Amino acid sequence: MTTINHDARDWISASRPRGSAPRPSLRAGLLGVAALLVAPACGYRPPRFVDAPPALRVDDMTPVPVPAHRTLLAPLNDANIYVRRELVRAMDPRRAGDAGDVNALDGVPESSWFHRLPVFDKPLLGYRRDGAPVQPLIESKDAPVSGLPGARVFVDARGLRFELVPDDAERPGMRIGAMAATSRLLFALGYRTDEVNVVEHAGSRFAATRWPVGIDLGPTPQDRPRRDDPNDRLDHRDRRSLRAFKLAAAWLDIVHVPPRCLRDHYVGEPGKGHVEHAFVGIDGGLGVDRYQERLAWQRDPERSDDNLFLRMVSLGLSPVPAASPPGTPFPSVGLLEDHLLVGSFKPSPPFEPIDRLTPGDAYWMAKRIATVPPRVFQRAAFSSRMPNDAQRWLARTLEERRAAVVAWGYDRVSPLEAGFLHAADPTRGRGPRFQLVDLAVMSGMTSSATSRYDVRYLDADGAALGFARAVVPVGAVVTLELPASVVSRERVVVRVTALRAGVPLPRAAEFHLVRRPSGFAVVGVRH
Amino acid sequence: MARLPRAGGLGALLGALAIAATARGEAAPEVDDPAAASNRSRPPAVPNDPVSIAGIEETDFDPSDVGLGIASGVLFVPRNVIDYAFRGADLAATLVNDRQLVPRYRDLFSTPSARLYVFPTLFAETDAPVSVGLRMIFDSRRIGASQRVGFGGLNQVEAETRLVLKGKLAELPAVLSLESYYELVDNRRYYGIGLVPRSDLRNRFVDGTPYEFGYYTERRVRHLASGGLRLSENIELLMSTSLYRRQLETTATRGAEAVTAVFEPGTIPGLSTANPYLVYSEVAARFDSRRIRTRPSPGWLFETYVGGAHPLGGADLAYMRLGARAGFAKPVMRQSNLFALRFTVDGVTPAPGSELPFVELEHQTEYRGFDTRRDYLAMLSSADYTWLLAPALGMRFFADALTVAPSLRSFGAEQLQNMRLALGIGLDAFSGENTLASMVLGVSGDGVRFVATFGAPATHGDRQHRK
Repeated sequence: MTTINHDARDWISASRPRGSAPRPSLRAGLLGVAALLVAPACGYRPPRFVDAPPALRVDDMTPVPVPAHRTLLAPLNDANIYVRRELVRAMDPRRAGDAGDVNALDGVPESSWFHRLPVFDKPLLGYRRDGAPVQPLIESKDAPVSGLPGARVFVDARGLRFELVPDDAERPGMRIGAMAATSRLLFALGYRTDEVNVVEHAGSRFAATRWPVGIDLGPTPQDRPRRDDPNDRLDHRDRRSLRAFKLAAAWLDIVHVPPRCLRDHYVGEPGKGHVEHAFVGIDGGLGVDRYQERLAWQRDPERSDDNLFLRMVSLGLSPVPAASPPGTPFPSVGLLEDHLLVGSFKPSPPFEPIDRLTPGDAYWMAKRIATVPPRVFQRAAFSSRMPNDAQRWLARTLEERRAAVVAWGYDRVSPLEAGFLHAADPTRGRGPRFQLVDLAVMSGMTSSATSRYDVRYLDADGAALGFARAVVPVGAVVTLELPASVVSRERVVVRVTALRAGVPLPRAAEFHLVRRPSGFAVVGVRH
Repeated sequence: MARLPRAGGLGALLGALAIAATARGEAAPEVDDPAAASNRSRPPAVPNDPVSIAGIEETDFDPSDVGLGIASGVLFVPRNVIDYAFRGADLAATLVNDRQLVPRYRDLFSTPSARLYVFPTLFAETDAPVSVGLRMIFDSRRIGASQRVGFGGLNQVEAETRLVLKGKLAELPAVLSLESYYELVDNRRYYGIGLVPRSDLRNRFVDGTPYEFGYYTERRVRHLASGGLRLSENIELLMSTSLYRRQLETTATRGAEAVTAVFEPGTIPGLSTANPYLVYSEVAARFDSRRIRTRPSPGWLFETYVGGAHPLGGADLAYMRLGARAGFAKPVMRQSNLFALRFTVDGVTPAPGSELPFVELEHQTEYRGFDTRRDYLAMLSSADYTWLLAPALGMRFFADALTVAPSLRSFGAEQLQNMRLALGIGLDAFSGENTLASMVLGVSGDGVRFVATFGAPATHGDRQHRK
């Protein structure tokens, strides 16, 4: 199949009397109508990837003037999030398109939003900027800029500015420990974050947030780029790292993401620096907000049932439900449960990019979460300064929650990664082979015995090359013998849908191959 | 082009993922060195645009998206009207910040703790054009200012500016407000006078007209100065004086539905663009014990007022108004479940020899059916039950009963028999102590009325603003 416009134009040309030319407006209209009529009859046409290395770093840190500080007007933001967003979403039935910051191999390159892929054996490399504040700390009269509730500004012996948040007297270590651990875990996923350390000052414990680093520019707009930052060109709702924050938030139980938590800051000398975007002051993760809300609800003598339908039909007159104080194994940890429902997890207030989460985005984040080494959990827990037994409990709970989040992400798509392309081996009479790895099988989340793979080969225009084939894996490895009808092509698209116990997963994995003298090479991947 | 790892690379990939799934380390202090982080080699950067990042030279096409695209195209206009109304407000807020308007306000009024808000507004009502607008409020300890514009078409325009000075008078909290208001509306309906206009001898419908009402256009200008004194926490004394003019004319573009095509010309009191400027002064006393006044809240409310109007330029038009309002809201089982009752009576008496324009007759704007009846006396009784569905979402049932009469003496069985009733349901979304959005569906003998408001609530609760 050629392009739709081409088909439509041919059809109109063929039906037009010789020597006459349609008026431009009529022609355009006819083309549009014809395209609409013809389009549903046409098949899928895959994207065409450039034969070039994938983007690993985006040039979005070029020097710019210092942008204006953005003040968040709370009533305006509420109206935007709860009214505009809901109405506009309800009136737009289109599916969210692919994120705009995804490279050819379905990954997210380094940018001012997402830091370099962590080194495997040092996943927190780069987290530490200045370390904990150095005593003596002197309180400043400056107002805190991060928006953290209860924060006070201190300057340390080096003259560096920190915002200190006091501990919760009723739950020693819970809030400040969660801040330190959450910040490290988000960093390990690739997000830019503030550096948080638990410190002692004047006999009390505080969470010391190193902020601002450079110049604080206020909350990042969730729905569009900044107008005053030339480097900021992509709609923020179409950033994969923000869309996929749903999974990170579910894993770390970040139930509230107020707009203040995603902030812009200018790094470098004025006029020579650039804007970076970081999660700052997330103080309710790891079950802290859930614990506080449960406690407030339990202490409310007029509490009512959470069930919206019951509230509606009872006219608010349902009896006060019984409630017991929220129980946690240690006073220094929040209400962090080891099981969770990822699909229904929604931060509050709504985090707008999550509305456009695609299965591919979810899968990408699931992979990121899966590859965080467990020792990062221990280091994050250690940074919280909790008692040792609480640290071990936290690390274990994070591991269990991770399994649930990763499994959910892997179920959105066919979780296949390109493995190895074997060239043809005439001496053994074997053609070229393409090996894939099923991450769900490899991680033990499902069995290879119940997994099969539906494999289809398409040409560059989406036309089928031969019949679909069913492939049986060996362990987590799926080996595709490339048929002769494929080998002669310059470009081939391999679409593989995983079936679990005969049921296909929602989306196929798509691998775009380009022929080279020595065999095929992968130039594009989409999930 | 990206070459995938050879066998060794695959092994490393598998190994890495396997380690990720199984390895456990011991807790250790932070050892990552910032210098080591900055010394890592960096890959080359690609241009900052989606095409370069994705490496796609030709996008994909999925025929199943075509139908969704068509549906989206159908909704393009309403979707973008809403989107741009809100984005416009955001842009205005940004401009206000960029242009340093807040600091200038602060400098002007010497109020460093001032706050400035910009709100989009959206108002939709059954059988009326959607009105979009913008409200900007500047609030400080001593000074408040607001600007408001609304637009629902070339002939649906309103604009208002207001300055509020807050202070103390004899150690009592006091407020002085100065404001100007302009409104042009061309879809107003005149139903005649009285509770049953067709049988009321004061109305003269054109023979054979099938219509129960006619359209007229109103252009209104008002300058208002008002002062308030808080005598105690719940008692307020309010005084106001306004200079206003209401010019009325038939909406000729409505053809047979124009007010002069439905009613005999010359029989509609006050239908003239030559109506004079009037000075109206009013004094009111209010007791209001509600803790929050911008959303349902328990408490009592009593209010009474008396006012008089005199024309400028010697025209023969003067009148007096007198009225009262009483209500309460009591919690039922929970503080968030509220049962509220309210009763309002308003009366107007023309000076001897004056004929009041019909727009000066009393009616009840708070009636949640169709506010179509007007006369010299108007009474409204309302009952509401409100409860919370969710922390920021309230629901309500309500019942309103409205009647009008030529005078108190003529109030009788007819007013009760023909009383107009409205029953309905409403949803209110709250943010803090403000109502963020509201939807009300009222069913009455005239039909179903749906009113939706989004954005900042109007804080105008006094009578001069409601009229």
